[in-house]
Amino acid sequence: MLKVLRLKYTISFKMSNRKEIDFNFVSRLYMKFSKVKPSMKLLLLVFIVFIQSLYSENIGTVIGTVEDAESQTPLPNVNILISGSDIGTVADINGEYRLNLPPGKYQIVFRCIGYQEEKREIQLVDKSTITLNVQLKIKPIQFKGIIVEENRNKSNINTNYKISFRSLQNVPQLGEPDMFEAIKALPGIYQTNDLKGNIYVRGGSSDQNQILLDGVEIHNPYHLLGLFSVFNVWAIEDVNIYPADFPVKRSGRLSSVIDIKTKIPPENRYMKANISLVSSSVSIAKAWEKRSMLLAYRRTYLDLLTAAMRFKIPYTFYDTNFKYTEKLFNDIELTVTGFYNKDKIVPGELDESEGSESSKDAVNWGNVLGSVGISKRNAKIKSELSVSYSKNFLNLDGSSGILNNKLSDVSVKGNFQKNFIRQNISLGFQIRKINLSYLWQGGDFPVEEIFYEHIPYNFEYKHEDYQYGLYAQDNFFINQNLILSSGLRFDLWDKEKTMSPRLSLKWKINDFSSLKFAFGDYYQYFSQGSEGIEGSIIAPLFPNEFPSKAQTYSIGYFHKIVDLYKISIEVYQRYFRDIVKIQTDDFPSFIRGSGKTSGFDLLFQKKRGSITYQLSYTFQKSLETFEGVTCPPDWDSPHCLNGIIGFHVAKKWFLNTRISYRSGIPYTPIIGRYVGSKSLDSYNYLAPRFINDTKNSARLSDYFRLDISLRKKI
Amino acid sequence: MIHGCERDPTVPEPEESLVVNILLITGESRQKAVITKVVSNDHTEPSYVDDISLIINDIHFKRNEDYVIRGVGIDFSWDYNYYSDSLEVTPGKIYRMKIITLDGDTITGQTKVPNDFDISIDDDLHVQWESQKNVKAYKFSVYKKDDSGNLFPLLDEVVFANNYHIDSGIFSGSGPYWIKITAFDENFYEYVVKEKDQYGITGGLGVFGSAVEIYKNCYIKK
Repeated sequence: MLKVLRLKYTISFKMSNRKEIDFNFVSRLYMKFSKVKPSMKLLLLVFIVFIQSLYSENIGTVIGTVEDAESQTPLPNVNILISGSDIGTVADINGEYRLNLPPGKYQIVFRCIGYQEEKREIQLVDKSTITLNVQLKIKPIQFKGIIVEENRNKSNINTNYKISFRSLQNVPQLGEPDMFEAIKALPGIYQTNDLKGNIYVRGGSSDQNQILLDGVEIHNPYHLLGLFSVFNVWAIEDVNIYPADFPVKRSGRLSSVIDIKTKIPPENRYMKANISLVSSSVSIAKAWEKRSMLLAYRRTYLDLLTAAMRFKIPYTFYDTNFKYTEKLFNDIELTVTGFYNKDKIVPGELDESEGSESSKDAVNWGNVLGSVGISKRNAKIKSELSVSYSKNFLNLDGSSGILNNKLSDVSVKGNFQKNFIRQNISLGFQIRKINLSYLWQGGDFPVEEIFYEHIPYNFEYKHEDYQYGLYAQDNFFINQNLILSSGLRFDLWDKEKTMSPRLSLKWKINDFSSLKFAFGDYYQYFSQGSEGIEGSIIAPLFPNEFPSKAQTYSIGYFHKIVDLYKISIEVYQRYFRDIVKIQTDDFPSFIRGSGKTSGFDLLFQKKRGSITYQLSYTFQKSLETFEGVTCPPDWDSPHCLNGIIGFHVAKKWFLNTRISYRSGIPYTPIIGRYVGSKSLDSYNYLAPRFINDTKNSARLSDYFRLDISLRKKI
Repeated sequence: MIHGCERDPTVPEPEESLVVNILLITGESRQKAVITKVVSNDHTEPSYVDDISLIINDIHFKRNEDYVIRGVGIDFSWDYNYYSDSLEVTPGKIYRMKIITLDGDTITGQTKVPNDFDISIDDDLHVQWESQKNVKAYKFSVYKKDDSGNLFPLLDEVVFANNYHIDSGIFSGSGPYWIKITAFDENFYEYVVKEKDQYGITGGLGVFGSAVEIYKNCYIKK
């Protein structure tokens, strides 16, 4: 009998190299069939325990998590093999794996379809545990002309869009590569004016979009004329756009969240210099073993060039990005981010001839941003804590008046995430302080011509607000193909309490199709209530008397065709409540109204080949009601069609074409004119007065634009 | 970048309609009424009207053929003229207006002139006066006489309350100074401030309103 038992244990020992073996199970199995006497059973048990303890003493463990390097989400079903053997395992649904190995030196190989293979060398000693977390990079696809990508989640069931740095370069642009040009190619997102940077997402107004740089909000992200943004594409890693289903840690806007990440410095030194029609820029980035750094600077050169030609363009802009990371100890990482941009116009510099009556008025505007954060990550837990500061300023110091607008935003945020076998739970908080300071002084100062009518000549406004937010989110993996995400956010803002539930259900039907349903309540506490003007000067923000609210529902279907084509369709509906418009005869108060938008977005992409393209179409119907009058909003555009086509025409030459078409925006026709009194202080003076038709009852002609760019990589 | 975008809207022609602009003011010996018509936005023909009968209270207003007022500082090309007659406007009284066109159309209106009120001013230059139910706006003015004896304004401001604090910096010398407060009736307030197309009249656009002007002179202690 003992002989039989020994033979069985020998076989079991060999098998243990491949996968974990439950020694207790094995011993029970053989006991059952044994008719050994009790004394022999005891001896056998001692023997088993002895063997087990010997074996245990010689076992080491390797554990870890495999993630997508771009999205930093867990990658399930990754094959993990010991090089030169048939020992291995597979990462589970959370991307986690475990390998029990005898002490020794190993090369572990990580493989997954669609990703580059990674290899790691480890040295395992007796009873030691090594944590080995790995990030897999996507295998480069031949983007010969490029298109905007959809979020590369393996399940393809996220409704946010993701645009990588590579795609940003290849979208045709005027004068300067720009992130917003790529964003506008997505369905449901458009501009109504090429000279105004404001974007509109799924029927919401332009002040309902939250634009973040490394998690910190930027309030005026445009350079002059709104033709391009303040974000230097050479310093951007990627952009995530959420037209629905915002992450629960984001709060404060109704229509969208645009989350921009500063470039992650690669291990090889990265240096880019670029010159365009408008500006020149340089970016340098480098990663060492434990630290990394990025520095990018961009400046327009037109003022310097034209000064040499004796006709100086009195406009300058520049922007600077800085990022530093350092791995401290125990998986703790420090991140420091900085950003600064400034635009400046000095009209007086136009005419410096003697005796001229040139004005020395100077206008400047821009943003300052800084944040410091620490984070800790391992296979089970991710935690982050950060402090950030953001300021937006606008100054005019002129002979006829002064304008000094400032908005500053200080925030402390924390997020804690724990991963379990079938779910991950996040908890977080945010404490935020916003200061508004607006000062306008002047007699003949034409502020009213710049912003809107009836602004008082002399105006001073100061306001300070605190926001406290708490949130929780649970992503529950019902099974490998079904994920239920629920979140709840509680905010306290100027004694107003709001509760925002979020819910989404993602179903991966098969390897090619998926379906998603999402619902969410969103709140906004500050509004402009009016559009800014050309020249990228935004209208000031003011606190709402009541938080504006949007309730959003969306259903999306996503389908891949032979892994070459992608099609997605998403149907949505939004209800707005307590949205605001500035009241021009009682500044700065607002009138409140409500609104509704419904529509669908279509996106079709061909990702690879000598020709790549992306086509997007949006149909939406928007209505708003203010003071009993219901009509389409001023920015409403029922049909939007965008196409980007890329061709690899020759070695290192890329031709990209972009076509944009959208319906004309509404306007209120003037059907008549007469003369009459227009002011009380000069009541005898008669001026033209106009009779308007029904508000926004007519539409301008449809808009069409074609951009072609030819780029050579040097 | 290649663009296609044009503004070529089709706008309907406006309905034919007369426009009345009448403000009866106490203290003025002759009152004026401007009667025009609605035109389309790109209209270049004059918009004045002829041959109407305008009756206010029992007085028949005549068109003043000696005066043709052209727009000053406004870029429009039409001329308009005004109707004028002597009418002493009494505070607190109700006036009615009627226009009869050649086609037999009738436009009517009614206004109640604000009442007289007293003005008080203290040593700190706080000025107060009685409020009235149908008055929501005032024009507050301060004048001084020049060497020729003409009044010229030192201050003109529209206020929506029945008090005002004068900044002493506008005064040079002890005076005398004239404070003038013009109280506008509800019709004129709604038409001008609230930008209604018509108030106080029926059958057309415009306004039939009234205002009372109260003066008080004062000296400034230094």
